[in-house]
Amino acid sequence: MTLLFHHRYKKVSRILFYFCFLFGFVYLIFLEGNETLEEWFTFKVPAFISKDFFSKLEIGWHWVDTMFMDEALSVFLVLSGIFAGFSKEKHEDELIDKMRNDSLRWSLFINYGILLLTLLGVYGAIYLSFMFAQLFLILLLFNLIFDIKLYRHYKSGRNEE
Amino acid sequence: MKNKIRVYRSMHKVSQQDLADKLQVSRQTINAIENDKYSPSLELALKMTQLFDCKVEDLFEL
Repeated sequence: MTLLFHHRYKKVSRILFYFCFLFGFVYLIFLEGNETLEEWFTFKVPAFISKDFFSKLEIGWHWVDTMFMDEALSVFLVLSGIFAGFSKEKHEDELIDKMRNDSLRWSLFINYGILLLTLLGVYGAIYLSFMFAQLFLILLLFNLIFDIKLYRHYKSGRNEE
Repeated sequence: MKNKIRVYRSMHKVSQQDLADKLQVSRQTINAIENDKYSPSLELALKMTQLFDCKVEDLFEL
């Protein structure tokens, strides 16, 4: 129970996480390749390693041109997902901690189950898209399962005294 | 693991909320324990026996 963030981060990180996920989904389906967005968000960023299809591998600090939207979304997703899942509840106790651990275990099982199916059943370039999606799927599953468990927990025994 | 927390609570005229406050857990956690949906840790079980002034085996049974 000690390795948790303060309760004050819970609400804002949860909202940010689900918003980023929805926006990321909309972006991947409808907005990827949008010229206006690419114009706005493409700029030089520092890189340590880079390699394009037709350029050689560069190692060491240098500048690269990139569409920064993916990176920004990914950073927000990871940080908000971790803060949402690992911030204390208002009344954090051992049952909440058990629910958090159970949610993490379930999300790990499901994610790696899907990974096994991907390894054995998905081939070609789309395989990379599946692998990329699975980087964030474990966080999404964890937060979803944990939020459902919390909802049921707070709803339980409302009329009991 | 079965328990008699509800019985002891009514004997001592303590509400779920009062017991939860004394044990520093949520009322829903007390409710889950009473309904055998969750087995408390040893620490929490011992705190309960202290509060109700009874033995662990009086409060819990396998």
